Amino acid sequence: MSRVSLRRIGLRRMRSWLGRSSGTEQAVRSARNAVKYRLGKSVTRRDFYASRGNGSDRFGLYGIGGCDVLTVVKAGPRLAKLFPGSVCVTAVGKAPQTRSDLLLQTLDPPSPELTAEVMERLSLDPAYFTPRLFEREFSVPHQAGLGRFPKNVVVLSISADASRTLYRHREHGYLVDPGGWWLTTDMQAVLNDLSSVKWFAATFKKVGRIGVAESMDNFAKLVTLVRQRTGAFVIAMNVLTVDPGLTAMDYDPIGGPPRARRREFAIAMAELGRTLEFPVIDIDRLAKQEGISGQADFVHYTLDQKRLVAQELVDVLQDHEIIGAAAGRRQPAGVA
Amino acid sequence: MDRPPSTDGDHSAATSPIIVLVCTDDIARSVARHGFLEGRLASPEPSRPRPTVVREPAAPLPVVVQRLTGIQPPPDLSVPAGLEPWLESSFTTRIAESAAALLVVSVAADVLGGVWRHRRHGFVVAPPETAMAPTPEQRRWLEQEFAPELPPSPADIEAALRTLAKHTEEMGAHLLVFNVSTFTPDEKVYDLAGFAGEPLALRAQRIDLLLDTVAGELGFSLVDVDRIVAELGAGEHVRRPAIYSDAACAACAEEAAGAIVDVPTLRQFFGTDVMRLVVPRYDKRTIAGRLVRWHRTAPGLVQRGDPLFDVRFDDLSHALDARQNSGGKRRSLLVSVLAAGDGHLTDIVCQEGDEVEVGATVAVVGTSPGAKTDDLASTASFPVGVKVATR
Repeated sequence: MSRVSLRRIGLRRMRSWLGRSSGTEQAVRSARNAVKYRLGKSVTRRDFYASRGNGSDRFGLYGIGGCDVLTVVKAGPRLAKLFPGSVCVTAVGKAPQTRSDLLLQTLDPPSPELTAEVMERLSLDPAYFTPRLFEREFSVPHQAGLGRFPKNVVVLSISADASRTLYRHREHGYLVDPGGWWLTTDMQAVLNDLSSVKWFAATFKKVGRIGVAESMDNFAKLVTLVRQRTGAFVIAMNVLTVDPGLTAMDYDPIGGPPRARRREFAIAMAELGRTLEFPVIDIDRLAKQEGISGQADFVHYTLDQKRLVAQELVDVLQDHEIIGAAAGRRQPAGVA
Repeated sequence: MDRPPSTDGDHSAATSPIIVLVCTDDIARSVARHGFLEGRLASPEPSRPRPTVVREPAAPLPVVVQRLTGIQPPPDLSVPAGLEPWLESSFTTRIAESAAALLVVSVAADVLGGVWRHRRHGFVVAPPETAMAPTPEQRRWLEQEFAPELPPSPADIEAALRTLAKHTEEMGAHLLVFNVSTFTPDEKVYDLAGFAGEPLALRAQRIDLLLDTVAGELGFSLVDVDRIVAELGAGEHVRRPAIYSDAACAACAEEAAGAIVDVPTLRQFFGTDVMRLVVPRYDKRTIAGRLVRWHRTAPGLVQRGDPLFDVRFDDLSHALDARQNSGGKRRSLLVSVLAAGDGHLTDIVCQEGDEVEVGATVAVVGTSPGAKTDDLASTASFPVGVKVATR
């Protein structure tokens, strides 16, 4: 029996006892990845890439946004070829945590006492209210063995702003996106006990989707603050504007096509990029170029599309001499 | 747009509805290609006059509007030999006739360039390169008489669309508009800060957004060329801006034909007075589901906007990421199907609780309460809209 088969059997056993993604499983994975990394092998997972190079120089790319931002991880191997030191690319691809107003809220977060119950009941990420975007360095969650990397590049995405709805705490005024917390619990249990739904309705008030103008105001603040606080080179990503497989032609009964909103965001982000002088990776163009028939929705891309995006990202960094500029700088390296 | 369009059709059939196709390249090579629409319009009843398909020369929307207004070229204008048909084409259209049923236009010419305006009389014409190759002498006259205008802004295009929609509505005709692919080969811009002007892709995006925004209000149908070409792979199927491959044009033609079938005044020419109410596809994931609720009973009148039935799609097997995001469990999608036209629900085929596939007939809708057919399979589908009830 091969080592791979043994590993799979072991993983299945562990999951049958402890459940999926248990703390033990994460600790085992983290230790294994740390060993691989120290041995000079690259480590690739869905949300990060890390490779150890020669010397002490480190290059970090930090992406934050919806699931679409996970595409930046595919740029890791290309960046590792261009940078002689260690490279880490990570992506916080979680739309419920990354709408622009939520990210700005982390700069003035509510006190932990006010959020404790909400975090527990909605199963929010422990880092939900922490200003991780504005820190000069980052580490990959649950991968302490990889160490910390400078934020040479920060990639932002408009997907969360284009799609997510937020709720405001009626008493304390802070915002949350409950995300899909109820999807990961037993549906029968949720339906049998609606107290959590009633609690949410009594505690929070819907603020709806964000307007394009307000969103761009927020992004302008985000770009400025990220540049000031981290020294990172900022790049933004738009999203696919059309809906794969949607063949509707008459929009009167359905109140207009959902793609119109994404077109508005794509146009507005291009204009903001012109004003604040940051590049915008045109995911819309790249996804259409490759073909969208393999996509289930506008925000999850195929492997071929991800490769195109990764290549475009590397091209942008090379055109701006970011990958070259970071080499030889003292840690933490920043690109003004 | 380098193909000279022709005008044809059965002019003797005075009472037959008229379908006018303004033949920009995308329309000329898709729904207007020779024999395509005529083949679809074959009526099972010989006594009925068949619709007349009229192909008119390519033109930006301001010229199409001018054609509708009925103004004539100034009589004192001396036109060089050979240019008369081109000039005439800026003033004539058969959509102004009372039998007009459908006008098909595209914004491709408006995305790519502007009109030419006569320096003294102010009327507009399509740039001559879109329809012909002028001789040097003709070109000198054109440059002397006309001034090229900048490409129209989205506001100009909206104004033209409003005029077209108003005219077609007054005549009882339907308007079908092709949008444009936002993919532009050889144009890769990620730094607008250093870019003079506006990339063509961004301009196309603005104009497509305009169409998305006003389509419902103005009541025209939209052929989403942008999506169709993207489904096929724009890198392979966009030759030049707004010029597509044959395969892409064929796909656009099929989509346009689907919209034309739904035009009330033309529906009878695609079959009988009976239509099938079918399960629509919401997206790629929706393949089969369960009909969970009927909002209407048969026989009964249905009107545009009425909820008809709900379908729950359970098998979202293509949505790998959706499964991952839901903790390994499959998610279902409840879709509410709404009427996008008026009719009489004459027979319900599928009952609540039945398993249904996308495209399956769930009911029969007639244009009158007693409409019947022996060949349901060959009838058109009743136009519907969809709304997601829950995810």
